[in-house]
Amino acid sequence: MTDSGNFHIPNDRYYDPVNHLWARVDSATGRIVVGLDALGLSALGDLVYVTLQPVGTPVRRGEPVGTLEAAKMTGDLIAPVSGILIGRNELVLRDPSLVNRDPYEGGWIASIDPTSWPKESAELIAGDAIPGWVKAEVERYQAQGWI
Amino acid sequence: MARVVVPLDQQSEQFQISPDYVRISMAAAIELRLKPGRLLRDCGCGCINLLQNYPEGCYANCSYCGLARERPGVPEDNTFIRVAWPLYPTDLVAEKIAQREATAGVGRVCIAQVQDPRAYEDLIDMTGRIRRASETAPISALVSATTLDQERLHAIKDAGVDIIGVGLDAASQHVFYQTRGRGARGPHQWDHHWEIIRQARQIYGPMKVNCHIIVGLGETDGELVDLFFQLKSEQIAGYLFSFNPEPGTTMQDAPRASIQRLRRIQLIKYLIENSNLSLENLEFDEQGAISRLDAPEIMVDVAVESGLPFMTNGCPDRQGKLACNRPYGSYRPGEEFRDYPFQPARDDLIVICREMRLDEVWSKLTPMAN
Repeated sequence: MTDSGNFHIPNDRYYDPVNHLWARVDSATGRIVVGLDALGLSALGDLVYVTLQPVGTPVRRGEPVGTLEAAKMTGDLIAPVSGILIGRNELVLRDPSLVNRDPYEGGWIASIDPTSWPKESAELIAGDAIPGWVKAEVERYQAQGWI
Repeated sequence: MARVVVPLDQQSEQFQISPDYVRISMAAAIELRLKPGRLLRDCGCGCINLLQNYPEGCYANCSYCGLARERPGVPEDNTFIRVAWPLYPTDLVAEKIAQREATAGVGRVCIAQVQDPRAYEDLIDMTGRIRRASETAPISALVSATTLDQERLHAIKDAGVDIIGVGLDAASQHVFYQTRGRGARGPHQWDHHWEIIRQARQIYGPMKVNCHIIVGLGETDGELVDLFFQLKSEQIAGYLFSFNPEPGTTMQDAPRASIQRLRRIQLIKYLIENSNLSLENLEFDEQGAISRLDAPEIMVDVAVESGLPFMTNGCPDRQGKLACNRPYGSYRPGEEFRDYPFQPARDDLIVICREMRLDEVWSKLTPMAN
């Protein structure tokens, strides 16, 4: 776990450095479970609506797979990896605040059957690179006045 | 017997009541860093909007309001203008306001009353707490006229309030009766509201009193226009809101005003207030909707190009600039803007003009030749 200020970033997964999404390989299925990290959530605020494409939809890394709406902010949910949308967290769709309460476990948002994981995972932040990236991002968010 | 202290976050909100506790708008909570988050387009929130909290919610019964007495559910589960207003100790909020005032400055603070027997005394108390924490932050009071009289208006001013807002909400007496008065099993009376508005105008001064007016409660355009002229003649500000149905309220299924209608109303209000548009320049159809606007091209173009008619109406800061911009207060951030919490940009103006379809009613006057 990397802690920077009030932000807890687990080291056991990958991070999209632009959109602050995490991606974790489900070792049993090989699917990629996706959620929002603590910094991304801090910038969004309390989520009130989440929408997702239907299961079975092909998704491409960097393109929208759904929308996120907080009390005073909205934006697209950008796929961190390419593949087929294979799972949607229906609990989150019914109660988006679950993402704020438990972002790394119960608040996962979607799962994707990846088609280019070896290549695309290299574009994500992982392992030893996480602490430095988190530190830089916290400083950037502070400089912007977002946190 | 040992005294058991329940942590704040485990106490029911029914026991966290004013004056010791206060609700704060989500945008203001984000601005003061009481809540995480950002505001779409990083527009900032210029006014710290506060709302009294009581276990019963509000004793009034306005048919469009999320705090209405007869709305189902417990008050703490309900929303006010559709978004949850988080609850904090008043002294903590006052401290945050003081910190903000000492650094970036606070545009304005507004304390809103609900209809409750304690509301007046608590408004004085809460105003005092904020004033003691920050001697300089301008404070408005959004009052429930039904709880007030002239003496109380003076006392509110003495406590440190410089602007009074009155939630008139309805543009005409019959709409008021149906949505807020006896027709809605509510306590409010049109005549008493106007009595308080005019007394406040005498006590606080020109443009230091404002009426909130909601577009979409069943009024006609003609009634809105009449009200705009009335307010202008008495140097009372009118602040437009767009009706947004609250789930669980009597009007939950009522439609919102169309965006085309809202845009035209916003523009005409601006022209009346700033460009001396007169009633003779307007015509209405049998339903009371605007059917003709006679106005010079330059008058309309300058107003539209400025974007100002379409911005949120609200109390000013110390420099006279809009403070109370209520970001995404009348609509979700994912929806079309109803009012803009910032000056609309070029791309926004293109959208606004498309929404307004002004050419359908606008007859461009040409200057008379000598």
